[in-house]
Amino acid sequence: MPVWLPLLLAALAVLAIYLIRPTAQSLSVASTLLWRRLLAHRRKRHDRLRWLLSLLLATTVAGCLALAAGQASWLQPGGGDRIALAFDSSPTMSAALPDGTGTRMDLAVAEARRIVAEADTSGRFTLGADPTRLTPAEALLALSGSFESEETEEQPEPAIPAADTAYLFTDGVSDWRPTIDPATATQTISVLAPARNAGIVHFVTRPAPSHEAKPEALVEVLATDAASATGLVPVELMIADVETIRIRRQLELPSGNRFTALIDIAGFAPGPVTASLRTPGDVFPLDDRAMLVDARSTGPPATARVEQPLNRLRGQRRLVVHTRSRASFADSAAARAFAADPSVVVVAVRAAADGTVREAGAQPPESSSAATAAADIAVFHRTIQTTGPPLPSLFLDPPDAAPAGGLSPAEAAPPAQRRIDRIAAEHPILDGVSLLGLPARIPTRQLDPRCTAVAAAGNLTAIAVCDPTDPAPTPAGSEPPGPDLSARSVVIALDLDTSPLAQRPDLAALLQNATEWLTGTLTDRDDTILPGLQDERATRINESDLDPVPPGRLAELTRETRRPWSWRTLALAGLLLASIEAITFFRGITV
Amino acid sequence: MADHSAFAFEPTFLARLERLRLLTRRVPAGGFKGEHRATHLGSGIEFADYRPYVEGDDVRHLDWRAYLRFDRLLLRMFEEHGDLAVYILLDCSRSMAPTPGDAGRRKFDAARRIAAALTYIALATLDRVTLAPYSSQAHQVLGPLHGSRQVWRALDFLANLDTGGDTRLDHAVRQVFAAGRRRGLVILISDLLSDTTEGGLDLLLPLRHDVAVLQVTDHRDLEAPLDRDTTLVDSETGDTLRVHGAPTLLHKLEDEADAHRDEIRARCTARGWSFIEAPVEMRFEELALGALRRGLLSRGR
Repeated sequence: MPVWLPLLLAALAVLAIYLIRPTAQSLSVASTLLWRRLLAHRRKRHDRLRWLLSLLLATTVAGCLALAAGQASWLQPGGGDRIALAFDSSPTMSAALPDGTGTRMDLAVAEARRIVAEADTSGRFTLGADPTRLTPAEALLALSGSFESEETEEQPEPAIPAADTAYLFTDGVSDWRPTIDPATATQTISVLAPARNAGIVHFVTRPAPSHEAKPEALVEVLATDAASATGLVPVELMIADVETIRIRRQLELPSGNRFTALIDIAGFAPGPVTASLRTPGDVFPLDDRAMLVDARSTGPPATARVEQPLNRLRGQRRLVVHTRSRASFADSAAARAFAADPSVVVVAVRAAADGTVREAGAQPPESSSAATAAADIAVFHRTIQTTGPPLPSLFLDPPDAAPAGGLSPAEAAPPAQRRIDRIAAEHPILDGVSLLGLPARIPTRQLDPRCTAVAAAGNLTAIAVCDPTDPAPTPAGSEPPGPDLSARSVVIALDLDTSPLAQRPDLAALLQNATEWLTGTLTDRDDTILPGLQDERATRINESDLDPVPPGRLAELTRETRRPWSWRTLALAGLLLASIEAITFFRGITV
Repeated sequence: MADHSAFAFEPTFLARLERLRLLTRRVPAGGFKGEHRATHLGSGIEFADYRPYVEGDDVRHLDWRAYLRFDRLLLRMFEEHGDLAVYILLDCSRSMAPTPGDAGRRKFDAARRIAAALTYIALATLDRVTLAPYSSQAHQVLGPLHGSRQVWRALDFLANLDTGGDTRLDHAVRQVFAAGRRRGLVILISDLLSDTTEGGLDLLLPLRHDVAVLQVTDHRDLEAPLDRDTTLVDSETGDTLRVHGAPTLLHKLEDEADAHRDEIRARCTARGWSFIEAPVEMRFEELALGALRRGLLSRGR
């Protein structure tokens, strides 16, 4: 708001107050002698004192109002309780309330505002993981409309600052558990408002048992309704390819029941296949749509990616990609995963001549060099590192990992296909990623002793991480092969474009975790912290151990909370009051 | 012929007026023959009283018969019949008729009736009357008039007066008495709603006149619809005054008017002058009664 606007409004208010006063009537009198004597006596005796007292009282009242309502921070002792407010950032918090007045997060914010408003003015509040202590007025201001997005994007599972009392606002559907000091008294505020939802919990393609070249899709729909509702949930299921809606079915599902369908997609147009739901009264749209990126692939079964926001978003990371050719990267699953991650920006793609690995390190143009200098991570897609700045490196399906320092040269052995049976689940780059049982068609390689395998299929290393700050045992009498490791690197020795991992959200999460770990923004987590919601749990938006919010409470809390006036506003009001008093006095109106 | 309807007196009323005469205790009668009596050693022929002889008295006025009879030296005193110089200062400022119409001229009409009656009384008793209307505007001074035949002239003069301008009593006193007029009775008829009143009265003090102040009052001057902001416009000066107050303010205004009147009354009393309040509703008989009490008028000849 521009500075002149409040001044203009104040001037208009003063003018309006002046104009709306009744105009004085004119009265001719024989002489004003007696009137002047009367006024002179009264003013001499009382009026000036009365006016001063009135002005003093008005100013005092206005000042007290300003200070009390505005709760100026310098006036508040600040020695009160330390109160932490933490908000569940899981996807189900975006579910709408049954009456459509907002979301569960809106309800949480309203509850938080109520707590802040009812708290003592000496209390200090922290929001989420932010350790900044706020006065009640500042906390109310911070709990405005923009609060939700900031919280969910930046601090999904916050470590709550030390406090006397922590209020956790959650619907209890997910396993959201912020890190809280054990000495902190915790109160969980339920924002669970049971409502109707139908979602796609499973959508995969696989070869038909009768004919392996003929793909079919398996779709599962789960319906849930408010606890009090016992009727059927009407659902319209639509399966579409890139051209048109191929299948449309009307379903009526009892609450809690699951509907499974096998769909022959052989006749579908090439390209993605989309499943979508339309449900009257549905409050959670995030699970209403799922897409198979390459549904007609004759390869191993593909799993749909439910189009919902990634559970975890971090700071932005800039990538410079070294690839065999621009076309090979542009059509790759890795490129799609990066494109789906808003926290990643591919600043440059540097292509070498096809089949010529050494040309990957050819003289780059000036613009490419600048892009490299601005990058955080170097990504090597089906090629290897030769020279360049010591950036953290991500090797995706490297043909020969030895120069990267991650894996030893491949042995002369035919490619084998095994399933991943061993993972280091505690490692942060596997957080929220499901790899077990995934087929890995990779050449046999020996792990570099300086690196750690985090996923393996038998004796085959599928994923390895190398950290120069983490000393690894070096066999006695042997020199560590490969170039000097001055930065972290991750080797994902899977053919991502042919792996079913590419058809699942796990690839995006894996690459996201890897880029975070490489830039140091992802630290090892406490094992007690559980990963975020999975698909089916998100769809079951009413399954919680918490008590639901009473409907009357819903209506009360969703009512707009009036924010108190700021002390500046009330100070302006006091100034206006004093001005009017002064105008009244000097114009001789007061008798 | 001027309109005398404003002070058209009934014959009976005139008859009552003829039984009154103006009275002064401080001013000696003049040399012209008149009915104003002074009790002192003089050349009169009507015996008044005796008084003891004191050294220095003229022995020609000793009553030797009384000496033989009472064995005391007594002086014979005679009443001297002379005329009295009467100056009637009539306020003709705008405040005497603040609004147009008969209702607005109530004070001025009342003042003229009083002036006419007093003039009638004075001329009937062969006193010398000077009519001096005053305001900031120029006014002609009439008189001195002597003899009852001048009554109609005086009434014509009064009937032709009109109001206008500010109250300037000080200027009027300087103008009327600049020529060194003889001492006499000064009768001031005014509403006294002016800052110049006190200054004008102060100017009269060294002239050693006997002074009678008649304040003409109208209760309408103290009435105003004060239910909201009001701009009061002074009828004389045009000055404005903003007031905002409750109707209770009018009660305070009445108190202020009383205080103002009391101040002038006290000033007059301290100087041995008469002060008579003359509300416009008061009949002249009531006013004359008040004047009788205060020694301005006396009954009989």
